[in-house]
Amino acid sequence: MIETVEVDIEEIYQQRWRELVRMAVLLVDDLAAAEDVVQDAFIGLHRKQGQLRSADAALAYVRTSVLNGARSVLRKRRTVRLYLRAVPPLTAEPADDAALRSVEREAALAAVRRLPRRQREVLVLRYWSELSEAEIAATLGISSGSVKSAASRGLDSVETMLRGQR
Amino acid sequence: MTADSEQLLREAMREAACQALDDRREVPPFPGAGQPARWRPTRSRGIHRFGPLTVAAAVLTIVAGATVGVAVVNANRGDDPATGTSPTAGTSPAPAPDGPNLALEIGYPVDPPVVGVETTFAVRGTGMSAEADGSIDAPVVSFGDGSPDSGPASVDNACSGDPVPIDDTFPVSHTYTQPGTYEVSASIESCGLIQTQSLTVEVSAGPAGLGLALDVSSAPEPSVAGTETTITVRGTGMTAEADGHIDYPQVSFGDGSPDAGPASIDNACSGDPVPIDDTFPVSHTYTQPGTYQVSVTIESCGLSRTQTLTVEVRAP
Repeated sequence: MIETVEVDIEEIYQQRWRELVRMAVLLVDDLAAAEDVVQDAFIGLHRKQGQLRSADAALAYVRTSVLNGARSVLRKRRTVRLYLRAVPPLTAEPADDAALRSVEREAALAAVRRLPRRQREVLVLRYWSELSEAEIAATLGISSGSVKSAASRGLDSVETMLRGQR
Repeated sequence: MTADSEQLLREAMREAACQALDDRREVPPFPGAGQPARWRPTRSRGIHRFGPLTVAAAVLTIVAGATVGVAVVNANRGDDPATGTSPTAGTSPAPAPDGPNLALEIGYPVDPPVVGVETTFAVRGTGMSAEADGSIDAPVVSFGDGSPDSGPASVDNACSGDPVPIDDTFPVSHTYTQPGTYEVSASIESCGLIQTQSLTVEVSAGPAGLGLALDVSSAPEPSVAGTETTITVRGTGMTAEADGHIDYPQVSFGDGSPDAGPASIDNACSGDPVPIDDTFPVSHTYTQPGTYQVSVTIESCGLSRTQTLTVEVRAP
């Protein structure tokens, strides 16, 4: 018999809503869709009240739900993804170091958008959510080895794409 | 990858995420707080403050002489605060004649639900709606067996002008893997009105106590020519196989290569049906990029199920 606890889901919602919406934005590139995905995830979590082992388990559940919701949004928006793949390389001339860094950040984000779904998810969980390898593995339901390899391939691809634009 | 590049990614994500969602933006109300069921439209869909929903009436109709039961709930936007959501059986619906109103019916499946056989529920929404396209969105349906809900991930809430009559029916199908009693719950939404209705279904193990369901999925990573592709085949249901397991599936990979699977099928079935849940990883290496139709068949005690899957194989 697994022990369950009463989790204050509303508190988690208040504390984590922004972080989760921003995570979803990085996955679906659209605030409206990101908010919907997070709302749906919390509605799902609300239904699970009474079946949760801890507040951490609740957060892990809702984070996974957000990822699943984001995948669902992307499936329905393949044409948009195709459009994003066709975004031309940035050609703006930087005026100074700050502007150069800003252009680099935009290029890095564009590169992340072009990664395969798994790699993009791993990078967002690692560099936005700051999750450990084990936490990413648990969130995505994959092995730590797969996390490591997806992160490594994703980072290599991003760097290659950035080099191609310099 | 250098530490600088990792730092660049952190900065890029922080900047993009915080630009998309400003810190000054208030956290919207908690979606579970006293809300009826499913949807709570967010800012992006236009602000809909749900007016008090008055459950006017509910009727449970069993159509005589047929195995069709229909649960009906009606709601309209009234001026009185909602006093409760429990439908009152036998009360006639009394929606406002001209204002927006929404009714939901879930039809009991015509064919009695059986394990391993697709069951179809008809979800019907009627009433008066100001939806811009004149029809309501597909319902969100929970099948009560822990499987993911069916329905749209997001809802188009564009509403315009005067209410017009709507009458939309959505067939929603699901395959149960275990016999039992399940509560099916459907929700529809239209211009801020939400209706939710439940229906209890009895799923039997079938005439002979047997049932078989098949689920085929491919690995999340894209398939690459020259590299092994793995397809997961899962068979669930009730079987009387002598060893308690179904046989390895027959798989046709669609590229002209020989099928995978046993040369012959062990049909030894004995004793009482027991639940099964067998998963088979099936691997294959495509030599050329392209689109392939994979066909998978499982068999158990005379029941067989076939499912096809499209696999995209890209060049290495």
